[in-house]
Amino acid sequence: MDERTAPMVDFDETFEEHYPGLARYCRRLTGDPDVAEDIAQESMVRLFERKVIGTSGGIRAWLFKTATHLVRDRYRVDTNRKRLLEKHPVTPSIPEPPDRTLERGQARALARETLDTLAPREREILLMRYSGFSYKEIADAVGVSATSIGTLLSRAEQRFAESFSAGDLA
Amino acid sequence: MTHLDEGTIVALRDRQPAVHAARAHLEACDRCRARVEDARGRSRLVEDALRALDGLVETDEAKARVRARMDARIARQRSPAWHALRAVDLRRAAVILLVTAGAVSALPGAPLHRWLTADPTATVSTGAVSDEAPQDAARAAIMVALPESGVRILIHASAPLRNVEVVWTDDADVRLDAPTGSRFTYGEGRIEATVAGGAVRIELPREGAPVHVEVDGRVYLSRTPGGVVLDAPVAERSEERILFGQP
Repeated sequence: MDERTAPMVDFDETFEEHYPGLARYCRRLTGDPDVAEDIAQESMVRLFERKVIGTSGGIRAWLFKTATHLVRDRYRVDTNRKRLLEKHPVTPSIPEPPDRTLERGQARALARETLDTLAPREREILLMRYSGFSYKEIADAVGVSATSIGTLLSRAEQRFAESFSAGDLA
Repeated sequence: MTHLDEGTIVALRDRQPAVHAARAHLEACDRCRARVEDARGRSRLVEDALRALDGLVETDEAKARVRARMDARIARQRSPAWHALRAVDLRRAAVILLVTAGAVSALPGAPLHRWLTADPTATVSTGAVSDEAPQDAARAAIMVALPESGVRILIHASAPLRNVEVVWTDDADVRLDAPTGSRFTYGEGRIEATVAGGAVRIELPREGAPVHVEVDGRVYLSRTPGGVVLDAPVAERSEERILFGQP
């Protein structure tokens, strides 16, 4: 990926192609819509400022990798994490009401709670995979070898599925 | 019969190219085929659960905000007032020591005074070198104490780099040196260097807070509590140093 010598990519086209997926990934990763929006936008700013060029897939991988690193930086200090959890508490399970809005809220809270039980790296691998990235791209973004992604992903999925199913039955 | 490991099972499910060799086993093994099916079911569960976290994405609003953010950043960087304010913040943020190699100080008439601005914590530019001086005999550097929250070192090459060397030390400081003509800034746990080509040397405390080294937007090295990750071609590596470049 050449970031210095090539002309800048088309702003509107690139933005519309990549921003929605990036914003969803950041929201899933952080659980905080405001932080997610800030990080997704900062990633886009850096893409244009640094004049990154490449294939569509390459630009997408660069954006997700940049966002992953920005999220890591943001939450490196534990106090930030605690503040985030206080600001967006996980809703405790309540008897199932008929209203669909509440059902969606419960599903969201349970998914969030389950994601929070994973280690940060497991969470990143899981969310990048479910954003459609190859194992090689995930390895590059997360900083592990491509050959270990299958095992790490499998364990993350199992932990997620077990925790989610247990919460769903409660 | 040796069955496939869990990583290979999900890689087969996800049609990853590295596992073609395992397909022959899968065709002959009912048990592993069932495990792939289980993994598919688990994948559907995870996918559905994650979808609950998605909300509406306002692309147009976000686009306007990104444009505004870029414009504001450009305007701010052009503002003399911002530079002055930034210098005050930087003074509080870290103690920066500019050091130059002994070779330069030994040169007759070396323009050391030109290397130091009135405020040493502001953006610093190294001065010109005497024509007699070999290109790499004259070096300038920035040195800061490694913050507890870690440091990001962002290097922008204004001319081709020969190599980037990372040296682990027992000191508590981060030190970056580069050929004269390079410019350094520091603030908010971040060192930025616009390097005038040649060789770059980075000294890092062997242990401690996270460190992230990026060259022209490419991550070369990340040290986190999980370990050190290298993401660029390495020419030489030992316990004492890493030399990035073509082997």
